[in-house]
Parts: sequence; structure tokens; C-alpha cells
Amino acid sequence: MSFAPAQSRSNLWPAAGAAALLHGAVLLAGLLVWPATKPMTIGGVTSVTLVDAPPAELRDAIAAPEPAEAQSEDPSPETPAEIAPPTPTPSPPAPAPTPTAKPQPKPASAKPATPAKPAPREDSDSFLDRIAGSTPKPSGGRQGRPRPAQNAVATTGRGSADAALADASAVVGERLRKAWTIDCSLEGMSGVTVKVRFRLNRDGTLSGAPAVTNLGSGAAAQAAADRAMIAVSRAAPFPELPKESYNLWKDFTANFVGSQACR
Amino acid sequence: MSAPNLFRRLGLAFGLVLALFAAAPGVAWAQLEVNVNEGVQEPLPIAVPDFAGTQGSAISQVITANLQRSGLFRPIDPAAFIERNLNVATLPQFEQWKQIGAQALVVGQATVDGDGRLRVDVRLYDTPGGREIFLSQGGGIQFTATPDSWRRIAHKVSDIVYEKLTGEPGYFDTRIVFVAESGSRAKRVKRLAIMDQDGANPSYLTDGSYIVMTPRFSSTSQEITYMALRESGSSIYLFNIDTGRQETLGRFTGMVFAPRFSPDGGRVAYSVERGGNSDVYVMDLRSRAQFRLTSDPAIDTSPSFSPDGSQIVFNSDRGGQPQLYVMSASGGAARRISYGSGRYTTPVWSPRGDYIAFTKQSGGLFSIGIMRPDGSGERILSTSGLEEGPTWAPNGRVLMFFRESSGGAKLWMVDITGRVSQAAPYPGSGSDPAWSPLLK
Repeated sequence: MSFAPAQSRSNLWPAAGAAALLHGAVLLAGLLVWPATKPMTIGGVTSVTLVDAPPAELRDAIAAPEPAEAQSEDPSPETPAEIAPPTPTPSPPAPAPTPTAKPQPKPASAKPATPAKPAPREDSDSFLDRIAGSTPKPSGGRQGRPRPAQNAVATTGRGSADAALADASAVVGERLRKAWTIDCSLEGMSGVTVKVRFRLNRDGTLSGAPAVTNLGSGAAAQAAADRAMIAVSRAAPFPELPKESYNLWKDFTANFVGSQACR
Repeated sequence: MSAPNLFRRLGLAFGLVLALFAAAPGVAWAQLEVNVNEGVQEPLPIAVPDFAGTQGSAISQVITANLQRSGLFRPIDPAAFIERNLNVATLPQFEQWKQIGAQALVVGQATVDGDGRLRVDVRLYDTPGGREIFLSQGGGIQFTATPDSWRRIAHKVSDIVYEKLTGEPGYFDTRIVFVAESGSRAKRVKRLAIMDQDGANPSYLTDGSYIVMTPRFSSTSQEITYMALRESGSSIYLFNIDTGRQETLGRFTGMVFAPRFSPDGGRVAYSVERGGNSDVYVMDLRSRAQFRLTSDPAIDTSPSFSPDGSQIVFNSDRGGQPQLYVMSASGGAARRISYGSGRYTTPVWSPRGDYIAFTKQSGGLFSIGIMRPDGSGERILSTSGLEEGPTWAPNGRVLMFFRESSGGAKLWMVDITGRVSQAAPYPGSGSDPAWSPLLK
């Protein structure tokens, strides 16, 4: 989403306008969804009433059963074709609680939001740098530069900060691996990749809540997302990250790759 | 649209953004992306402090035991807890829970309302993140029941916590029907019995005046089918546990055994043995019409439906020794799926459809194992001198079976990884377990 250098001045203006529009939208999105460190409030509850179907007097209910009327004395061979074709009725075990909807106000900060993709500028702490950059593609004309550490993908525009980035990625990556509690026998967990965005303060503590940016639907995706968020919160803080290069490492995206972890 | 017009429409804020963007040319920027390709495979450390209020402590203990038994959680010893006396209306001191290694925290409160009903409120927290994990759209969840159903509430809470943190449905609010064995080996009394999945509330369903075998649950209702054996012969019964009502499928020529419901509960498959040959039959419960599905001179038995009702797995010695075969639920050609050395019996299709559990006899030992419905991926989960008869928990993740030793028959459990293997929480002697679907 950067300006194409080949464009002439005259047709740059529409592009600039469009860029402004887009950046403005991103700014708005950022303002709306970037989780501020608000105190959490307790939300409402949903109420479930158990249907009491008390088992009959079990001990007494059963006298020795007597063979009842016989429908068929001799199972003569019937042709299998007489059976009506079975109607496929997938019957996964139904989740029992039938919540009687009693929704109440939700806690303010508990829903993982989908934040806009910030691409911070090196020289600014302002939230505006979230909207001023663009989402870079890894790779592209960076041959000859030192490679980031294993498992870390650092993308830089320019400057000589690659080593610092690689170090920061290595530190954070290692801690995330140790903090991520998984169970590969859970199908949802082993097949899901969860992308978690988080921002760090200068002292290496988390700034706000981590947010999952690719939340899928269903219980398995939600559980995998929660485990990944727990991992980020457990791994933090990262006080060893060098303060002088704070602007390089303050924004992270961690990809928790279930298929890799469960190879 | 011209650029100036566009700018007017965008207004000051967006113009400012553009200005800032333009005013900071050429600076380096960075975005860090880390791939986390490894994790720590261990049970999730969870804290379940005593719920506040009436029976709160007992409820917490039932939940803790359930989660522990699943093998997917490691409940933290309450002695380590720093914060005490939590309640659902205030936020926990997250730092104190993070400090003792809890990754999740269950907070609950039990109250008796004006109508004398027990009301249990529950909230779940991500303690490192200091945030609530929603149990419902509203955040927390509340269960209401009569006070004597407090254990069921505890199982419901266990189920929802399990589901939120594993992504798979729970299986705790369920029951087990089994054959309770008592008396000396020579005069063994076998009675049908029922208990909660955690061994609580055991009671007898039959009086022991006749032998009962192979109880099997319907996957949709609290109904079982089982085989009764008297001197006069064998018969198959349907038994509604909630009402106590039971009825026979009818009188058969020959020995009838190994009944099992279709997934929709509308049919029962079983075997009939005559003159040394046994074949698989299906009866439609509404019309009571029966259909013969196999007709070869071999012993065909232990039919079990796939969860969609379209196929049946059974075992047959048509190839020389018992192996597993799959055929259409309307009969026809059968495809052999087991090819290992040994004898494969008592196949049971998982309610999830992904595995078939079986008993395997090989080298003088018995094992419980699972394989994919196409026969691939065979995995032995448990082995001993004598064990058999697996039954699936409704979430398709845990199996119960029975193991015979010098001390008699005992109920055992193992999960599909084989890592979590333990005696079922029933102190007595029992065999032939059958796992119920989730209670409503």
C-alpha cells in the first residue's frame, strides 16, 4: 500500500486520496479495536436450568422382565434389499446445556478484537505510526542482509537494525515456545494456526491485551486462540529486550502453528 | 472525483494523517513476526478453588476430579492457593494465580434461591492474561437445579470448562451401565447396574435372578438394550432407564446376542446363532420387522453402526480367525479392515466417526485398540492378561472397558492417546460397561 514511484505527479493525487481514505479507515479501526488497558468489568451470565428427570426408583423399577409377545418366531432370511436405505443422520453428541438466553452486558475488554495491522515507524511512539505504515511483505530485495533467527521473520524497511530484530525475535520466540501449553491429541489444536498481535511497552511488559487476528469459528478455534493468548501473557514480560531499539520490537505478530508443533 | 474535492470530503483528520505520513519520509520501519513451531505438551494447569456458598466445596471437588481424570488438565493443589474466598462478582487477583502457575481459573458460587432451587454461577478466567474466557455470550453461566442434583451441576460445569479449554465437547454429565458382579466365582451374581461416569450414585437395575450381558446405550436417549440369559434361552431387551419400562424384542429361534442400537435409536442390530453359525440381523423397532444382513457359514457377530447409520462394522471368522469387516447397514458385500496378527473382536464405532475401537487377542494377551474405519492407523491403547469390551464416551475421546484379574473384573478407562489409563472410579467388581450419551 505504498506509493508507486512510477506514478506521475498528476495521478498521484487520487492515489494519495485513496491512501488517506484507507489510512483513515485503519486509524478508525485502530481507535475502535486496539485494546486499551482498561480495567475489566464483570459481564453478565447466561442461565441454564437442568431438566430434572429423576431416574425412576431404580431398584424397584425392574422386576425380572418377562418375555413379551413374540413378533417373530423364526428369523427367516429376508433380502437385505428390503431395508429402507438408511438416512444419514449424523448425530454428534449434543452439548447438553440449553442456555435459556439471559444475555447481559458483556465485559468491556474480553472479546478478542481484530485490530488493524499496524506497521510501526521506527522513530515514533505515537499511535499514529500504526496507521502511517503499511503491511510489508516478507522478502523482496533484501538479499545479502543477515537472516533473522530461526523461526523469526523480521521485515525491515531500511536501516541496520536487522540484528536487533533477529535478537528480539529469538528472545520472544523462545519464550513463547516455553509458554505455549498444547495437546496435540486435540484435533482443533493440532491443525490450527493462531495469529496473535501484541504490543510491548519499553520495559518489555505487554501493552494492552494480546489480540487474535485470525479467529475462526467453532469451539476448537476458540480454544486454540485462548491457549495462544494465554501463552503470550505467560511469556511476557521481556525485560531483556534492548530499550534503545524499542521502536523496532514494540509490535509483534506471533503465529502459533499447531501443525508444526504437532509434527 | 478531483483530488481537492476528495480532500474536502475526507475532512481534517484524514488530511492530518496524510500530512504526517508525508512528513516522515524515508524512515525505517519494522514489523516483527515470529513463528512458534513448538509448544509444551502437558496437561493445562488449572485452579478450581472452592465455590462460594452451599455445597460449593463439594461441587469444586467433583469438577476438579473430573478434569484431573481426563488427563488434559492438571488441577493445582488448593494448598498452594494464595487468594481465598473468591466470588463471581469480583475479579480475581490475577497476579496471585499466575504466580502459582495457573493458566486458567474457575470461580463459582452456589446459592439457594427463593424457590429452594440450587443456583450455581460460574466464570472462567485466563489468569496470565487477566481476562475472562466467556462460557456463554454473556460471559459467565448459571445452572439451576434441585439441590440434590448438585453433582449434575458440577458435571455440567466440568463439561463446559473442558469444552472451552480443549475445543472438544465434554463427557462428564453421563452415566455408565455395566454388569455388577458379586458373590464367589462359582456362584457369581450378575446384575445390571448404573452409576454416574465418576462412580457416584451406583444402583442396581436388575435383581440378579437371571444373567445379563452386553448392555449398550442408545446414543440419543437414556435407553439401553441388553441380552438376558435364562435356562429357557436368551432374549434381547430394551430398557428405558428414566421410566423403568422395558420390553423384549421378541422370541427367537436360536441364541440371540450382542444387540446394539443404530445411532438414531430406531433400529437394533444383533446376532442370532443357530447350529454353530451366527449371522448379523437388524430389527426396525417401530415395525419390528427384521432383516438378515449376513448369510455365510462363518461366525458373524458384534455389529456396530457408523455414526451416520450407513455402515456396520462387525467381526467374522470367515477368513479363518476373527477379523473386523465393514458393510453397508443394509447388508451386502463386506470389506475386511483389520489385517494385524491376532484375533479382532467387539468393534465399536466412535460417536465421532473417526475411529473403531476393538479388542485384540494376540500372543496370549488381550488389548484394547483403535483403528481408522478404513483399517489404517491401528493403535493399541492398553494390554493385559484379559481385557475386552470397549465403550466410547460420547465425545469419542475416552474408552471404558473391563479387565479381569485374580481380583475379579474391574472397569478401566483409557483415552485415545493411550497415555491416560486408569481404573474407573468404581470400587466394586464390574464388566461390560456401556457409556451413555450426554444427559439433557
